Amino acid sequence: MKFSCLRPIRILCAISAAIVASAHAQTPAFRIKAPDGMKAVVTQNGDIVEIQFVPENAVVAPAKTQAKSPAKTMAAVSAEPQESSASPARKLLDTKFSSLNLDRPISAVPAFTALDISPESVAHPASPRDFAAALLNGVDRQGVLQTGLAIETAPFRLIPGWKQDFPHYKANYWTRFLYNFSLSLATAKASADTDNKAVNLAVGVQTILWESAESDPLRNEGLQQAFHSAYTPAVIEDIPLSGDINTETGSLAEAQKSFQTAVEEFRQRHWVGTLWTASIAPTWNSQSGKIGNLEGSGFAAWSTFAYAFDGPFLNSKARFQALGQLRYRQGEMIVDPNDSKHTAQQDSLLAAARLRVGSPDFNGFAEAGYLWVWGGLNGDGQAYRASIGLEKRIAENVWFVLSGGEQFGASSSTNEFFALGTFRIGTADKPQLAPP
Amino acid sequence: MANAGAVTVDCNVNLPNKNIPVTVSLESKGVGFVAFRMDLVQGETIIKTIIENGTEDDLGKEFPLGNALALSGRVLVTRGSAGAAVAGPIELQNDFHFNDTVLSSDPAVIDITQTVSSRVFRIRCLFQ
Repeated sequence: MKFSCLRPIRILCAISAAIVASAHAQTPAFRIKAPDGMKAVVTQNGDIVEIQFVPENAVVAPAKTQAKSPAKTMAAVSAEPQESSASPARKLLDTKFSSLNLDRPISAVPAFTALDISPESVAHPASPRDFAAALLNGVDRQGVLQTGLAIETAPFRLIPGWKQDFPHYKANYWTRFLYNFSLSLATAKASADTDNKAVNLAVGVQTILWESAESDPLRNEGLQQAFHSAYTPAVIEDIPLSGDINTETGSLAEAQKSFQTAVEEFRQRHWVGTLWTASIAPTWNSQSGKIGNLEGSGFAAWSTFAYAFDGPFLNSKARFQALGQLRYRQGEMIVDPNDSKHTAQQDSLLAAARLRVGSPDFNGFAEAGYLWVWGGLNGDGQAYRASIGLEKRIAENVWFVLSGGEQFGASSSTNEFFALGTFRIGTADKPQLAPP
Repeated sequence: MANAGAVTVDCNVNLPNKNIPVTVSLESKGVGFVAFRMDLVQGETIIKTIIENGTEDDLGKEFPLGNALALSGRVLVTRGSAGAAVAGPIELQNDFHFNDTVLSSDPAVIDITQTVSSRVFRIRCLFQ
């Protein structure tokens, strides 16, 4: 399977055209156009809509519930013909994030990043959520189809009695450090090879080492002023001492609307921030797939610095952000996708940069990285990695993330395009942990 | 934009039947902006305003409430709003301090979502 350098661009252009067209419709109305030799398989399971492009002769297991009317809800995606038998993992890429409280474009779960199955090489930093879950089906950079599950939480927020209010958050660096500290757990398993029962597990910790006060939504002075301009003492006095409280009309409704407008303007300006994060994630592997047989398989450690340029650019909403990341991975088990008996335990160092441009609802990114490998499938050497991608908010709490690219170089096990074809959309009507 | 209803909490506070001073503070679990006022109420009449223009900077501060014996049968009403640009819960509660004891009211859980960035709350504590 060979792809030209232009193929990922063509795929993403087709997707972006569909997204732009759909953005003007109140209800997204997409048309599926499968490329030659491929067919689109659309399934819906609850709030999860899946689109897969597979070879026409491929047998696809039926999902629990088929989409009632896929022609009305799906996006047009172009994909490339693929091999029929040699590496089935390369035929599929499913990337889905189903998360909670998605007020900013969500960041990859750190534990997924450690397992190197996140769709992004440079995960953009973001404030952690109280609790989030992510599912992922994707092709790793060795071309092996992986399925995984991750959960992420901010554990220090759960400590009873710990002072986590505005005065402490604003004044104390360590309060911010711990408040934004996240803990994640992820598992991943190669799903294409039924004989391979190996399971990878990672535990990731991440925190924000530094964030500008202007970028931090919890400390931004403009937002603070907007809140108190909306909820003046006179408005607060309108809350009755007893009985029902009318928030649908009158001053309370106006105040709520006023602050909501300020928040949405803040999101337009600061959906990209200036901050610095650090993460570390030890990993384990079980060849038998049993928990009792887990053995340590090294760790990953990385740090990301993101800088948001003053804008806007292109139009009144677009913003521009540059990110740089250093990531060290020790003891990573690599399996040759064409020969499962050919394995290596490699160490690697990735230096990568990423550019993001767009609006909070629709943005694109390009990233490039230089990889040093020690003890890889092809011994020591260097490799290059480049990819482009899109993030699109389809509706509230519905995010769409897709990336495609290529890794090449002397120590790369493959020079082929490492991500294309299918995607999933996860939805949530409301925060799943919200009180009823 | 969605319009969210108010969060209301009603609770009873059992103070000791002694002649001791009591203070009150508004405590927050979760970071957000807060505007509030506290009034001591008898029936539907405000007999004493504890704090009129409280903000997030006043969280955790203790305000004199009066003598425990004199508070019996009265209601402390804390009214306000909490908001943030980050989704997540903000829990607000009254803490009553006397001697070395702290009594806490039930929390008002302000659920901030992407489309509801602020909510009004009211905590009524009846002293018994």
